[in-house]
Amino acid sequence: MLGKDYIRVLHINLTDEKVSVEERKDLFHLLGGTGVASKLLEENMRPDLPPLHEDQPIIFAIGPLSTIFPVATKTVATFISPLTGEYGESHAGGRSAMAIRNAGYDAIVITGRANKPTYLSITDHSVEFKDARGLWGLDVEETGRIIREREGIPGKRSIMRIGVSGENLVSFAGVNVDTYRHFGRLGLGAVFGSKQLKAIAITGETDIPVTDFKSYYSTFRWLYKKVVETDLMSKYHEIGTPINIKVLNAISSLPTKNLQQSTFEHADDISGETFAQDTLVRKVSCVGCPIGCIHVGQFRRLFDKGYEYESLAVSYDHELIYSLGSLLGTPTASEVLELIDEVEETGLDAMSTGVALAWATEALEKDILSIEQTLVPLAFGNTENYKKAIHYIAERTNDFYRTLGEGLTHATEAYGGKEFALVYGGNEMAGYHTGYAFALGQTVGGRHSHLCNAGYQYDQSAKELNDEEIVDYLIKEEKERCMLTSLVICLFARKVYDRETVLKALNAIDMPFTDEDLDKMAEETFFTRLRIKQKLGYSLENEKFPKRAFETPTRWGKMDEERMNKLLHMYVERLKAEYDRYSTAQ
Amino acid sequence: MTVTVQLNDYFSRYGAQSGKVSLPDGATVADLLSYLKVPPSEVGFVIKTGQVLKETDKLDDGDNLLILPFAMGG
Repeated sequence: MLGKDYIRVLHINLTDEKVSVEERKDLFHLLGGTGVASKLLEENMRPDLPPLHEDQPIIFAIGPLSTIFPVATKTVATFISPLTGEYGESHAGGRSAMAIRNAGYDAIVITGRANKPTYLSITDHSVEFKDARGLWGLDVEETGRIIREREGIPGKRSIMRIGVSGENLVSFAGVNVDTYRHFGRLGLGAVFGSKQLKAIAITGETDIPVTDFKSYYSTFRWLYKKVVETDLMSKYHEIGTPINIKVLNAISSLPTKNLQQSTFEHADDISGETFAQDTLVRKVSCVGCPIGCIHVGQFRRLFDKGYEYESLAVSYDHELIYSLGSLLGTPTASEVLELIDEVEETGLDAMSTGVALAWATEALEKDILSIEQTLVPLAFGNTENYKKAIHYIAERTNDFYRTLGEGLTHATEAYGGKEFALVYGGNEMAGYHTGYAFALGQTVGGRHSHLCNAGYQYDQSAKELNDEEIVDYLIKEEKERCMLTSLVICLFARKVYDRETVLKALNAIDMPFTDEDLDKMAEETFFTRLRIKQKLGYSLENEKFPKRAFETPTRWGKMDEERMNKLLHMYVERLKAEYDRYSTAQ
Repeated sequence: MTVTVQLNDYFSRYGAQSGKVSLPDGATVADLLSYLKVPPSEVGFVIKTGQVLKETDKLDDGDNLLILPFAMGG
């Protein structure tokens, strides 16, 4: 889209190994990212077929600011989620956006199913379908190492790959991107696996045309200073999001032991401060970001008798420490890192994995499950058994783990225990038991992520709770985020990229959008996602909240179930009215 | 009056430090934050014995206060 008035889309069919490129002027007004990827999904998806059918597409899209402005680092992926059966959207950084840009594309659509395990090698002049039979069955790290050696071009290419969980179609398998980043949520890894697509390596040398370099450069400098010389983002570099552990614990909002508690007796032992002091060895960034928010911690592991240790390093952040830490009762930072490492190697989504294991632990305690099913006595704080169970999920070892690998919604349909299954909108809970706005926000969000509308922020900053205000906040925030994730910026930079900044950046690269244009594209994208969900048979009116959410105090005390259901009803009515207004105006 | 303040590491960027603080009788949470030179917009929670205080709440001699930022995310 840079220096042109269209979106350049690469189409790849894995079945017949055909490739084509199209130029889409009609998508230009949607900027890129979520706007373009959701529209391409709507065009290419097959609502009549299951999520893992070979005809279902995978879409990737970057945005106009990708790579050329600070912190515009993310790639958006859309797909039909095997976890929820409806709209899937996940974001990842690393080098992915830069590599897609350098390959000369704004979006990539992948359909079909390879006739043998395959990895794609995409450059600015070719798309190659490479034999991945030797990689099938390998873990994420080994797969990345081999493709790096084969493909070369260090530093300029991105490698997206799956582990055995994706190959085995676990519904919450993710896609690892360049070691430290992930398309984590909603099961893109299983969609890769269903296509026998082990990995994608992408690179290129395409020149990026900037028509008015002086204007671009001065805007870049201004934005760069805003990022590095103000307080807007430094918090993400320092202790980073793990600072949340102590905060949430102090305000009774840290989901602990399957949310039987909202405070954790070992919170100080797994706090961001403890991770930084005891494990932190490195901070790294996605390409195009000067912040360094990716915190890498180190732990040692005994691999043989006789004091034979190896040291391993994995990235950590709040969500991982919550889902594999407090939620599982893990008492030390080192043990949390060990669990993160297992999840990384198998390619699972850490949040869904932690929530699923927390539920299984309580179900075993309550005799809903037996040890014959769980194979090991799952117990809060028992890291060794959780490490085994992570592999059982990834490898789908028995009927129970096969079902658990379909996600908690499926598992509770088979075994019961729905009342303590931490699922909002079909997706396992994020790490903020802050109150009504979080619970409603994850449930109603387009991709059932706490990042759709940041309800957890409302819960924290509100002076008092107001139901109308919650509904207003969630809708307004989600629309704005539809615009921001179409640019595509990292949401950590959302306070940097206010409207004035977005318009200035777009104008500097000869995209004279107006405030009204941004409003329109945000609304169009918001409703495109909603329309896709409807076409896939999803209805908000069927949503139920887990009983457990009302039993354990939040920052606002215990939530009232009746009030929550009324809030959902208010949201649905408001959405209907907005959709009618929008449809009429079209 | 004297209160004891425990500041989260997040606030070290403002040069504020944990410890005892002397304030005039009748001082509020807002007065304390002003004394500490911590921007109120950056303060998520001021907690006294497990309860979240408001900016207008008055402090008492001997209070133990925990000052935290907002939990952050994307």
